[in-house]
Amino acid sequence: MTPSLKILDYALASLLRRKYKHLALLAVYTLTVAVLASVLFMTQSLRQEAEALLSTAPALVVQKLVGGRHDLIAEDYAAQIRTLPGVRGVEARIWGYYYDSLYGVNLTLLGWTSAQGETLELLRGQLPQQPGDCALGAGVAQTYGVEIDDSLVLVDQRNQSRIFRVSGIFSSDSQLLTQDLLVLGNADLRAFFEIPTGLAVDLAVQVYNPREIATLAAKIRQQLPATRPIARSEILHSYRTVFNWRSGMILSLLLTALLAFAILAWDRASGLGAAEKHEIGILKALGWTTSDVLQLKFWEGLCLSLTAFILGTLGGWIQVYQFGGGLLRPFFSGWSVLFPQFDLYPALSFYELASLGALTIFPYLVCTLVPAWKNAVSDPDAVMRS
Amino acid sequence: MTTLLRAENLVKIYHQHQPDEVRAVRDVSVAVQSGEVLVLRGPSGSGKTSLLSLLGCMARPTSGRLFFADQDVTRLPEHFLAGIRQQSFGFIFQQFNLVRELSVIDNVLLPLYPTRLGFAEMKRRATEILAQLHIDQRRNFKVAQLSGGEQQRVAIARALINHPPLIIADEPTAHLDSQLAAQLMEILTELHQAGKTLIIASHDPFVCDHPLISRRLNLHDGRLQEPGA
Amino acid sequence: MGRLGWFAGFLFLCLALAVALGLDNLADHSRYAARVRGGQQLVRVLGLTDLSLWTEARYTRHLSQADNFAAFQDHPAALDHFPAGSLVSPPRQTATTRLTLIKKPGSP
Repeated sequence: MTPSLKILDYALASLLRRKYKHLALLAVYTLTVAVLASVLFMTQSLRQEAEALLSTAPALVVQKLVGGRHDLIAEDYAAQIRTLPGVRGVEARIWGYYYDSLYGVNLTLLGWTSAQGETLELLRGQLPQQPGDCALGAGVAQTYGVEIDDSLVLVDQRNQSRIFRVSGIFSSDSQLLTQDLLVLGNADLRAFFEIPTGLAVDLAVQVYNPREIATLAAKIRQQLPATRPIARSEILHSYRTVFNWRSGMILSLLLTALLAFAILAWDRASGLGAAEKHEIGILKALGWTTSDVLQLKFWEGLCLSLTAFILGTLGGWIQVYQFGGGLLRPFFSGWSVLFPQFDLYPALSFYELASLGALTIFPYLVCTLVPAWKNAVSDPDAVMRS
Repeated sequence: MTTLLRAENLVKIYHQHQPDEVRAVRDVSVAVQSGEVLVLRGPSGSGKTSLLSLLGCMARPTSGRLFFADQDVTRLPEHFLAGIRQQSFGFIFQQFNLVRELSVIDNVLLPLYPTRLGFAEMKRRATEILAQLHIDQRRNFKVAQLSGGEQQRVAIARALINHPPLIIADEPTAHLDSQLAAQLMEILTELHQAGKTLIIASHDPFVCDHPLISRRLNLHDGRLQEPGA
Repeated sequence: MGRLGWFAGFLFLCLALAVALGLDNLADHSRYAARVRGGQQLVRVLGLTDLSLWTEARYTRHLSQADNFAAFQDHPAALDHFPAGSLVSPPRQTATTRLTLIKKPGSP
């Protein structure tokens, strides 16, 4: 049997000798890794889901800017954009926000023009087919206890109540998209928000060739300088960025915890206890070489940190993908009342996992090896006398 | 008889050039023959432990040379010295230097970890030696649970596990009563009869005057004095 | 050999658990694919541009559409200061609703 395996055995015995201390260290370490891993998994999965879902978003959304602020856009602009080569279609969009302070709920109201139906897989019932109909997201339905054929009364800015019959409710599988959504007929919404005819909130542009999106955006900017075209790639980029900052915010808080832990580990390891020093002296006196002693310390550090990494990563995985990431929800959700339940699909980035492993294992190995180095290279007599 | 170990003008200075400088060994030359039983006599602080450390390759001399089996080991790299310590010397420390939280058998196995022996062979050797020293019934006890005499026997077992030709014992009877001390000398006698060379440091008259001893050297203030002085 | 065996056993168990979790998630793949397909259809039909994640402010709800230069933006009922606006809940002084429900006849 190779000496390395036997020294590993001794390292395990050494860890077990001070089992309560090492168990406590392992527990804290594992918890830190679990939270870090949870954040990484959640971010990665959300990013993946956003990219998948929004891949069919409008190729371009054109906004109007007045004095640097978002303003309503004339529908005439759509006619001009339609003439550009490569444009398949332009649709005027009406949408806006509706705040209910009692429930603390901020709804997104979206206008929709009925077209020949395609059956929507994630909709129970129907999209608004006639004036006075509406379809809701599952989050809205749950918050207000709404069922199909119930009616919702919304108060507009003139304090007039408008009644809408619920014709459809989006399924909970679509929460990430429809949690706060209320879909009304375009005409109904225009009347509700008092958006004059001939104006829209923005224009959604579809193209024949996705590779021409950037060119078209440039042309639109050139022809209509008061507009701001937003490409689908920019939409996706904004989601990559926001998940990075959300997770970055949590990670920076956690890194403080990790740093505190590293300081604690260093403090524990840097002044090798008298007993540990003495043991190294004994081992050297009995014929262990410097590399044998360092190997022992290496195995001790690796066993603990690797165990923490494995258990923490598994714990993070189970927390996010089996239990929906409930523990991290308060950090991700902000104060959103309608924050969706997560049913995320795993997205494994080996690069990120390897980085987490490196962050977990290497600092602890350094904390274990460096303090032992001096004693490991000294003569046994000197070590035992010190 | 062949010369197993030869020291020439060994000097050991601790904390050299510092205010707390200590000259523990001063210009010591000694040759140890194979099969000999040598005792180093001297009071506390005479440098016995330091000299044993030098002879046992556990410390490097400040100056002088050390030969083991005619090979100059003074400036050998540490890796080679560790091998010599493992294969050729069995050291019995004054304070036993056992790992108290480990069991008896785990302590005895310590010198064998860096070797290529399998666990089964290691355990077989350890069990055999513990049986020879009549301590095998305590093999799974933690060292902290043993008496002084039992710990002494564990320390001896550990020193013998690699079948070294040379045993170095530092004040072996320091923590033993007279009965245990007598038992210890019986064990050392058996080892000598088995062909081992023994170097013992002691100021205990029971050890120094024992018939087992073939040569006595006096150490005073780090220097060897003429026998009888 | 006991300790080594236990440690190897522990590592093997972790690996087995990881494989089991992976397989469990793989088994969900068709459900996930269906969900994504349905979601993509919704996005296409309704012309959605953003996920419904953080609904507390317009620049978090429609972050891809928000102004990228305004430091302070509309907020339903509280101070709006990025990024604190997404962490600090608004005051609840004006807790009134503009939305009421009428149940359909015959429902409990």
